[in-house]
Amino acid sequence: MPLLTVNEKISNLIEENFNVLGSISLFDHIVDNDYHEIIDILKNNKKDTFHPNDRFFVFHFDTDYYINNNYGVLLNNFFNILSELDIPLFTIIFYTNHYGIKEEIDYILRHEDKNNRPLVIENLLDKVNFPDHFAEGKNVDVDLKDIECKCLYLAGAKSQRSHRSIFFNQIKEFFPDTIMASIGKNT
Amino acid sequence: MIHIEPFSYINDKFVFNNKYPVSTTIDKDYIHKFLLDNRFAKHTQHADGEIYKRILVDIVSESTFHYPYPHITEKTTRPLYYKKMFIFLAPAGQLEVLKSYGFLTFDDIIDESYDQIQDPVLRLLKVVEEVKKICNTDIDYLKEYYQDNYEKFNNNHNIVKNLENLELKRIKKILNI
Repeated sequence: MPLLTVNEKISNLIEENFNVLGSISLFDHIVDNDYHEIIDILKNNKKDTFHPNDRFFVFHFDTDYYINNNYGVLLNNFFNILSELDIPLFTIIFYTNHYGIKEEIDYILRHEDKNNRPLVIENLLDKVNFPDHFAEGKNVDVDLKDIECKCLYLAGAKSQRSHRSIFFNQIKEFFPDTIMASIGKNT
Repeated sequence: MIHIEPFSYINDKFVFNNKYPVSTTIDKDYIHKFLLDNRFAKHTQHADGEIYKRILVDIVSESTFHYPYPHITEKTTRPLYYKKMFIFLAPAGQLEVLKSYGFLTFDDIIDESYDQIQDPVLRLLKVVEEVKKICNTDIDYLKEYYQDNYEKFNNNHNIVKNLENLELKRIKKILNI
């Protein structure tokens, strides 16, 4: 199962209320610019005539690539695939933690009829954002006697992100006593 | 179809002009002793409550920065859940999204105008300025602030705790079901 996936209660809610033809974790199905997995899911579940309750449940929690900030490259390609396969946009529920992506989708689909749009749900819930223990009501009160550092800066190690390393270099005068930090090299 | 080179984070590259000379590289891993002693993996998804017991302010380094809109991940929900102050190294507008959920922020101690700055370079520099201000603030003052504003932290924790129900309700409304 992909790490960045939908909360189970949300998936159940969608499945109880719609005829879900297929679920697509958008960027888990794209490896090295290869879109065949997405194309297969859509092709294999395409109908000559869609029922009004038919839906593809698409979720998008990962980062896209931007050229001149106009639109995400992979997002653009996904909607091109839908168009090429003649999949009507009303069948798409687009579930994401990108707040503002609706305007971008509107831009990509600017030549389409304005009433022909996917349903976009922007929200905070995926399995990583909301791990199971968050709902358990565990006591997380802070004992001020335990405070060792004023700040925490966790900058990850897996991906090379220039904003993280630039920021790291700007604040390192405060390590280790004032800021507890962690970062992986990127050279 | 547009093709890209894998792992070329185009969105994440931004250029500082000569006015703001900065280093963009890290030549060796850095990990604080406490994190090392507690076998904290460098992947931030492994951050847990033990780490958050030891600090007051989380400088949240979101997955994206030079990005057209907020992309909110677990890096942001953690300080809210663990009752911490926060400052975001994130796309502009993130605080606005959080406020729309009822989360309370700390504009009486941190200048949160950085959230409105669209230019990524200027926004990053403003966050640096605010972090330096916090780092130079007396720790007893920060602790006192923490105690005096406990209700804010509790409010944020409770919203995250109930997030599942909150989002389910909101989504039902969107879906008209």
